[in-house]
Amino acid sequence: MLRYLTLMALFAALLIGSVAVAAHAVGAPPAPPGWEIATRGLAPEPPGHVLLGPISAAGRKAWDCWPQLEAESATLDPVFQGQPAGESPRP
Amino acid sequence: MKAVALMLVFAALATVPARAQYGRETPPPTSQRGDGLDLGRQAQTRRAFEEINQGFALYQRNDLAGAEAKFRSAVARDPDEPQGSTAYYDVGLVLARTARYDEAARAFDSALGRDPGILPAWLGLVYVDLQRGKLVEAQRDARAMRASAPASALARYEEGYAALRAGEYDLAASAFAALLPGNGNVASVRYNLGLALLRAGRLDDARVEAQHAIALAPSYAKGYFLLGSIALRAGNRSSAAQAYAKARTLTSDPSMRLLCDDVLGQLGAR
Repeated sequence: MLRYLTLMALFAALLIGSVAVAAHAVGAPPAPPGWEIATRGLAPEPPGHVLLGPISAAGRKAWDCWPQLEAESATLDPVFQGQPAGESPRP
Repeated sequence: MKAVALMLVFAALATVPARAQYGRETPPPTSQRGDGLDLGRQAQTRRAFEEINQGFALYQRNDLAGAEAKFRSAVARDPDEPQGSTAYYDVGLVLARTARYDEAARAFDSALGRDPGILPAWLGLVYVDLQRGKLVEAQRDARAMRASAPASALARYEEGYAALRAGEYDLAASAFAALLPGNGNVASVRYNLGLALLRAGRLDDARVEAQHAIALAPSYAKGYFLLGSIALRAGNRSSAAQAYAKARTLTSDPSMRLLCDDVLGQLGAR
């Protein structure tokens, strides 16, 4: 009885697997000509600042806080307009 | 009785510590009374404070070797916070900029171990993770950065970028879509969202985002390349050829020009 049940379970798993593979093959359209080449040009854009500038000893509490403020900002625009990346704002 | 209550209120207000404010320079730590050990520690922290600032000035003059020496010396003094995490972060930054990524990751980790709120160190850690091809770690660290600063747009962007690099397209699409309120006018956000949607098989939504990216930056060659790829994937060969031809005209990158030529050749448009 146990052997019969095991065989039945194996058969069911095989059947489900085959159906899933077949459905995937039917559902996914074949890649069009040129697609493989095109994917090489589809690179994500890194953020404007992959690294921020240094922090001075007074940083994060004083005017040399540019990197921290830039990281905290809710927008991707510079916190201090016209401030070059990596430089601390001056009052 | 009223006078006593008023005095109590004034006394309570006087004991509330003033909030640290941006725009006022923090003076270096000064000597305070204490035992000999404390005085020695204060002296080390004061010296580290000076060295961090000297390294900072050297970094600004692009003398990275000089800056590194000063930052390392400050680290060796094991100063109190926030100078300890600052010194480790600054060392990590120089190491990352000079492509010593494993060492940089250790320095950023040390900075974050001392102060998990030093957000630029999270950003540096994600950068070196990606440079080392550690895509799972990059995603984990980007998530940690966002947990530290839930309102940070840069943290959200890093999360999406790391997910996109790791092939987690639905996660990437969610992260970039979350940036749209307040950052919908940033072409790279639209481009990355469009790319994630294309990879996730959502071609109509991807096309809308690619068109937004191009409208925001009309000379954005990668935007046209993306638009061409969406059309190609959708089986619209003539639209694809048109977009790839535009990307080819706009790009100044020789490798992208070659790719455009190759795809246009496959489409029979060259």
